[in-house]
Amino acid sequence: MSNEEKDINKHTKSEKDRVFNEEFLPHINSMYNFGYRLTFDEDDAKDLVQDTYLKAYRFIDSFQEGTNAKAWLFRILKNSFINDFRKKSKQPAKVDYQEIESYYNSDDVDKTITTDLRVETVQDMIGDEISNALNSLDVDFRTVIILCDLEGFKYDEMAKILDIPIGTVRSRLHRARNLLKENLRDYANKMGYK
Amino acid sequence: MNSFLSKFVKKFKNNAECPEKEKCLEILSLVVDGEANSEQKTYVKNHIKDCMPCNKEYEVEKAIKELLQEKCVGKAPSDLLESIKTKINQSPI
Ligand SMILES: [Zn+2]
Repeated sequence: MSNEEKDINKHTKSEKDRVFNEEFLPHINSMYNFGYRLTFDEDDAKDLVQDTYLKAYRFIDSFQEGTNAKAWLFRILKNSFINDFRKKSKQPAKVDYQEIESYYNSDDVDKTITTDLRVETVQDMIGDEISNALNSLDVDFRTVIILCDLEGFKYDEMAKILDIPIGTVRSRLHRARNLLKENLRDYANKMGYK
Repeated sequence: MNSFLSKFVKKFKNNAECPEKEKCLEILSLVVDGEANSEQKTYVKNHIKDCMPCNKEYEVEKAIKELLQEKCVGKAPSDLLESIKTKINQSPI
């Protein structure tokens, strides 16, 4: 290897480190939160985030600077969760998504659109209540809420992260919110909120 | 309109169902998510002045989103960042 080539490689390595430190690492809290809400386990979430960052570093050349690094990282994490993690974990086998989608596509779910939830009731809720309501959603519905409401991704970014059409993002989000509201209303009723 | 009548109308509207509920809720969500175009924003702004069910639903959606943002985000454990940095430095690239 000539000196020149060495220099180029060295430069590339420091460039990689710069992009990694400046563009990727600042998202570690969001990444961990996503990992935790997918797995519900601190160690699993750590592994998932660590794997994601190692992959991101390895494939850093396919990241285009100036594009949304957070969306790029979330896509890797979500794919790692589906491909690596779900297989390894003791969780029940992957649910038949078709079945769920068609169930939630039925009119029954859309009919419950207006709830009797009051703004004041929602505002009175504490962290555990909203958190449990979110966590009890099926993973695909939980995911769209996390991406949209917690992380503020736009619909087109969500479509890329999840590899689904934008129309599916919207309808899935719509159903996820109905289910979340139902959970919150059940909770409110149980707690005797008026 | 006298005050008795306006109270009555208000009460009536409060309990009335929105005739375009489905369409409204879809657009409400777009506004709450910052995905609405200007036409849709104007529609919602005008509609919720008169339609109490949609007004309420709009406020509930906003409140839920705020609650999620406020209560459901957390921090990574403090050792995670260091362990990632160490792994990266050990990687053979
Ligand atoms: Zn309405």
